[in-house]
Amino acid sequence: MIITQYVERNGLLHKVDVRVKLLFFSSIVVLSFTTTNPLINISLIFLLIVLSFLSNIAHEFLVKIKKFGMLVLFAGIIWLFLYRFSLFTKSQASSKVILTLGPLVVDEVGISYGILMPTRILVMLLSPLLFLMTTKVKEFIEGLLRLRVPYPVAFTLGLSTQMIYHLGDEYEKIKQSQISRGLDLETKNVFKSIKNHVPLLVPLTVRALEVSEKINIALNLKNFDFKRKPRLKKVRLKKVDYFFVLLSLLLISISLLNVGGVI
Amino acid sequence: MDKEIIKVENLWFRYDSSWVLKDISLSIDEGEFVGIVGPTGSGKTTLVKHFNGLLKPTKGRVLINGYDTRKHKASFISRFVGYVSQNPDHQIFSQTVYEELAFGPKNFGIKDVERRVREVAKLFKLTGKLNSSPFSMSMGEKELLAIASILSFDPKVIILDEPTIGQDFVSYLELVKLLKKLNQRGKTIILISHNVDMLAECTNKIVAILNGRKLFEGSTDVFFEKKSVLKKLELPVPHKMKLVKTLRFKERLLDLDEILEWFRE
Repeated sequence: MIITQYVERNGLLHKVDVRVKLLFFSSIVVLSFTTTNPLINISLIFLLIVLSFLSNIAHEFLVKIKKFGMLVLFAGIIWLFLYRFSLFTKSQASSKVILTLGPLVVDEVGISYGILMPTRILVMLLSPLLFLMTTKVKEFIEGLLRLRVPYPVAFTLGLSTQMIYHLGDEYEKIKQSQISRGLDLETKNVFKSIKNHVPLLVPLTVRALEVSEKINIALNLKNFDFKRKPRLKKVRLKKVDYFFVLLSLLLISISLLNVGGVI
Repeated sequence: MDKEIIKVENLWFRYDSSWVLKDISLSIDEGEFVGIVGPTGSGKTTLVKHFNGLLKPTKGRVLINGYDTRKHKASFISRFVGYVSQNPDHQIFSQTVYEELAFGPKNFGIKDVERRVREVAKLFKLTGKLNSSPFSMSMGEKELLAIASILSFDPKVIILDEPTIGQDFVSYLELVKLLKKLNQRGKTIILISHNVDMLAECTNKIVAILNGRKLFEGSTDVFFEKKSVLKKLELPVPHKMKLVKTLRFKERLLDLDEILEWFRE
């Protein structure tokens, strides 16, 4: 299954207005970005998982989380040791050294970053993922239009989410075709692995161009015109929408307190 | 008895939440020409992707030439089973036809790549195009190139997933002729197709899949006589079978050459 695919269910997030969902998931990402407390990021991941259960897509969501496992682990290890060389991290002068492995030093600040950064990456990946899994492209475009985003921009953004789906699907098929001809993509040699990915990039680029061309032709055949903006039905926010607005405001408040250095 | 090249034992597979393949067991011997049939979404492609280790069983096991696919990389199992995907554009990436044909043998570390490429190019009538770009070829030519690029590393089994999509009638006939020739040379061929005439013409065994379960496994002529199975799969009777019945042949004739021979006699 493709990672950003919409999952048709009668769940909680499926019922929430797209504009509210955009606000809610944006506030999660903003909070994750502004906080330096790993516990907040862990809480946000927990919140996203609870929401996936309430939206009846927990199984699909958890399967996809597993796919990010290696990335998160890699980020954790990198930040644990190498945060000292970053210009944007806290000073390690007062940090208590816990372990020394030759030139590598593990200290308290390193552990803090080793948890903070991977959990931040995970929140930033899972939030849009949960949004796309519970929002149809049509709803997404309509939501953007209601937020007064110009029609060409809204349409292109909506279409780009479809392109991610198409390209993900194509990538999987191309990968399988090349593995069938003996291409070893599971090699542990990093340089060989990079070199072996070249046979995937050419067909993927060709397919991406073909898909774009097909969409272009399909739109032209249907006499599509950006000047003809679709009519939108009036929608009223429901109780569940107000609940998520309040939740978003709470998350934004915590972000502001973080930025202000209050917490 | 022929050597068993593919053995599937109680195969269960699921992508995310739903089971795509349910308790499938089957075996394929060397030299067989097997047709895999079933409605769209029944699990045919998912099944054959287990034959070269692209997919690993959720439950059960698949043995290829004695190797358990769960314990070996797909790039290793592919040495025995070549898979030609539905769309040839998914594999073409080289600047010339020659490089495209040499890609597989080079990956498997096969010596004498040049000779292999020339042989395959001759068989597929691609000799004159070895230095041209594969991207400028027609869909029919690309399909042949895709098959040739698999055959160039000489796997024991070739899987073709809907090879006739987008082909004109002449290309279709050429493909049928070529596949029969390869099978006669001892190559095991597995063909996924909805084209009953092609299945009746080429295959000697059919495996039918419906909703992820095996519905039928047996000889092609028996399969096309099972009206209840054909009805479930929503498949028509092949034209040759209708001809055989209309003319009331005593023998069970499926091959066009056999029918022509009968008329001559």
